[in-house]
Amino acid sequence: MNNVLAKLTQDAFKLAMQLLQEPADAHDVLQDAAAIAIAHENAPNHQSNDFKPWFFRVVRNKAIDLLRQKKRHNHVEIDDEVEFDDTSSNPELNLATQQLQQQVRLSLNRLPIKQREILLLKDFHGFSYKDIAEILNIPKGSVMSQLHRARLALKARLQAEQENDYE
Amino acid sequence: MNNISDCQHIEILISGYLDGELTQQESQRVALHLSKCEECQTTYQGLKNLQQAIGKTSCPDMEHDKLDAIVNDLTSRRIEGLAWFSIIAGLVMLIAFSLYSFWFDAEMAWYSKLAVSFLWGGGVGLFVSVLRQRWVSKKTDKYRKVKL
Repeated sequence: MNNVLAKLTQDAFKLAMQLLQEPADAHDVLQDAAAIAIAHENAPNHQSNDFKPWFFRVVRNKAIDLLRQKKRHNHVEIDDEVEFDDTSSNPELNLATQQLQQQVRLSLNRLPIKQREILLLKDFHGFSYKDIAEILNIPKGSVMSQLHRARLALKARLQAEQENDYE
Repeated sequence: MNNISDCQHIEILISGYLDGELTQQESQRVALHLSKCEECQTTYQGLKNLQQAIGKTSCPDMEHDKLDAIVNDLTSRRIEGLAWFSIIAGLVMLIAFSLYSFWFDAEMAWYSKLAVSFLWGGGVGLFVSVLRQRWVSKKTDKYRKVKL
């Protein structure tokens, strides 16, 4: 298997999982995105540097569409948080670190989708502001301010969750 | 003592500084302010810790057989592209060689060659015009994505 393409697909799946929180839905989104990448006349060559942000944009748009569909049909709130078994956690990490990561993940999942996605694209997936602007179809100039607001929102939510835990 | 408006101006830039997305001048300005302002330094450190925590959050991987299927589909697209390129290059070379052989055939009279060339030229022209029409309508047809 092409290792670069496999890693890219795996990373895109993670974004879909982080937005949808359902493996079956994330897999469906990836299949749809791959079909578009194969058939779309404007799709960059998958070996070029432009392919990754383009593919992530398709995956992100498909995930948002699916969330909206589910919200319309099932009255599911887009911000509903679903916990999944954290089976990949490193047992060697101390308990405090594990708890912090768990709290961060839960607080992240409770953020509005727009704030969640920009935080994940930057701090988890490591995209540049230019790529984030392309993926989210927003002006590059607004990425920094949106990201900053999202970070402050996450920080406030995390503090509130930690205070609730102490009570 | 740091002016509150300084902190307000710098706060907006803290994320950009953290991500290495500021200009050199802006970075120096932020670094200088952070060295003097404890509150902004605390904000910066808090956001940095949060960034690291987000980077370390776990997320399940896609199942291997499903990943294989998707990667193979994407890889086949490139092979298909190369295959089409080879077919078209082969056809072009064949046509060029045929034309060369035809025109330099000493046995055929020049008027016969001209007549045959006009016939073939007309046929090719019609083919190209139909191709062009289909290409333009594919680009401009606003209903092409409608699924019935």
